[in-house]
Amino acid sequence: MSRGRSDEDTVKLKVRYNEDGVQTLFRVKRNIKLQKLMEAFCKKRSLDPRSMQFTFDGVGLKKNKTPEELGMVDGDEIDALVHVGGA
Amino acid sequence: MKRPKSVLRETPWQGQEFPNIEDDTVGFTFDPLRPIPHDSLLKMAKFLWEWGQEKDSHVRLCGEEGVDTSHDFFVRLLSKNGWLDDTNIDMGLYLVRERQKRYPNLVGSDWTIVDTLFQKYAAIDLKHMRLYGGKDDRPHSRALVKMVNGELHKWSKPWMSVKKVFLPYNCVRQKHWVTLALDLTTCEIFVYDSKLDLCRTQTLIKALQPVAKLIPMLLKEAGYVGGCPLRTTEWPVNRVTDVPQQVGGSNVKLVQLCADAIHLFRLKLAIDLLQGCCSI
Repeated sequence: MSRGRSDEDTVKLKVRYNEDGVQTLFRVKRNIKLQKLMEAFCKKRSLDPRSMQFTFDGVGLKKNKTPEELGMVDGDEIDALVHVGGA
Repeated sequence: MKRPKSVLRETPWQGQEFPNIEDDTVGFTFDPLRPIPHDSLLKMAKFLWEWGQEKDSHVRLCGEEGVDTSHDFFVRLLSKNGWLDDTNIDMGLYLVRERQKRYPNLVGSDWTIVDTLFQKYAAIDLKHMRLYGGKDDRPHSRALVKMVNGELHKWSKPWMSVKKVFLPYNCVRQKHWVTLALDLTTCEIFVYDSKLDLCRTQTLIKALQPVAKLIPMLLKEAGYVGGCPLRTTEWPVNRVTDVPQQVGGSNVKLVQLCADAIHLFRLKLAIDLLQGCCSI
């Protein structure tokens, strides 16, 4: 019996970091909270999660939402944007 | 060690009904300098103090469309002369759009405003432009096209229905916010800057050149049809010089008025956000 996740349960998502344009590919469960993906991306890229904003098609992503709830499909791209500030 | 889960806090105003006056605004005026009720200030101060004592909790501002914010959001907002980040700016602009939608006869309806995401997506789009070798016919960011069509932000309007579009722009090197006004009738960009001495006009214009090039291409792709012929080449950028200054201006009274008003606006914004509705 295969212990791996089947393709139906998972979705391949790309996370693009706006500072360098580099895309990181994640294969995640459709019902997993996006907070996990955000944390994994920040850890991989050594970023402070508090300094990042994640958007999908221009809409801010809520941490407690899942790819399934947002109707995400293979190849969808999430933007990881660095917060900016100023006077 | 596993991080504790952040708890959702309720604001003192949550669940409270506000009188619906949007249908009848006769006799009302929009006064940005209207004083804040004393009890609202006290309620907010008590709430923020109590929130500050509790770690790992957040507040959801402006319902499902809003964002989950930490206590730091309000610390930044209410610190005198403190820096504002894009979340502060975007939540403020959300309320500006809501006010325009609810009270168009008080604040005018021939303009719209987009949030800080425009600049971020424009930067990504421009990076792509370089990859495409500067070809104009490539598809632009879907998010940007949606912004032009008024489909991205809640309460926003299609650019086709307005004469001016305002957008915040962060001068990254100077760490300073300016406002860009896109005049869709004359096809020009005007820059409103509250710290004119921070950046030379030529430097600012040069920094905005990519945006000035992007706007006509974006309008074309979004199918924009305006009342006036559209300039298809780079839009001219003009810096407006007679705007109130934050510090160091020659007119001390103006500077003082501006500084006091900014603190009042920040307090009002904090209360409006916690209340979940815009005030007039």
